[in-house]
Amino acid sequence: MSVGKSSNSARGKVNWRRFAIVAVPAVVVAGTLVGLTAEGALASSISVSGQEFIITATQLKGTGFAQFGGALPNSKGGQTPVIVSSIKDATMSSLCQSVTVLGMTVHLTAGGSGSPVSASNLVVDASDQTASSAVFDNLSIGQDAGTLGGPAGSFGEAASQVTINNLVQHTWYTTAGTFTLPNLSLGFGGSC
Amino acid sequence: MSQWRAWRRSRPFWGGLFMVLAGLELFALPLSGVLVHGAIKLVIYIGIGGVFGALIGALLVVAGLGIWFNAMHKTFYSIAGVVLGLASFPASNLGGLFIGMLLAIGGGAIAFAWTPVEPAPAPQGEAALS
Repeated sequence: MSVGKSSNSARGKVNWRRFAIVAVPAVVVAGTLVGLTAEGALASSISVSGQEFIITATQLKGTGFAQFGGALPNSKGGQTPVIVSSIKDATMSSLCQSVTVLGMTVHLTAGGSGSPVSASNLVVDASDQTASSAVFDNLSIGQDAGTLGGPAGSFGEAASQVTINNLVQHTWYTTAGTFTLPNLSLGFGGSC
Repeated sequence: MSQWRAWRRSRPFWGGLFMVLAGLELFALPLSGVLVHGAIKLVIYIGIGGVFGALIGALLVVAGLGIWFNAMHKTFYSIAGVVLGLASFPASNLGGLFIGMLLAIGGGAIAFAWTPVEPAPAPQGEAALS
């Protein structure tokens, strides 16, 4: 490309004063964004797919709950069966999420000490889901999944309200329109 | 080999590299499922969060390459990289779980701070500043 230009032999080096002119304000803004998110004042958008990660919460409360079976294509060319759960509005206490990115395990916790995490339009595709107890209001079991946004003709269930205690999920795909994450903290190493 | 070194030293190589890596990381987090499995259906699922991740990631890669191949305009590309890195925090998985955001800010700042040493291309240095 431009290798042959006159700048070919022009060497350069990093001028650290110039570095600070940009880096210091950027870090201040980044810190403000992190701070606002940790206070729950700024919502963030979460969408992860393609690797298995773990979500735990001591309690999940949601309205507008629907669940049905589905399948995601896996890397072996087959299908991984998943439980698709969608919740219109959800709050989660002591949320913990861990995921392995570039060989590093990152774990994220939020929503401790009385101010829960809230999420809207949450969709989770879980391969495995356990809970100590679950309470459903107005549960309809056996509703056609086609009416819930899933594959038509398969099994589905819906509830107007749901409360799940000590939730542990292995998920392959998570997305939420907005997440507010009070008391956010992020660490490396160690899963939930 | 010496040509490669000359190429590297004649432009803000590391700043551009960090920005490209940041872009790839932001891109991969929401979309690796789609890219690995070729599942178009997932894109529809992923919605606006994933789209922002892909958009910010792609723009960071372009800005990083711009720093390498169009070093004249490195000031513009490096500031764009820093701003994109900051925007990724609320828009895309907390800036790719902080990793992508930090790479983009660091890379952008290093690229911005890179200045030619030799006095010969002084008018060029001025042009880069404007």
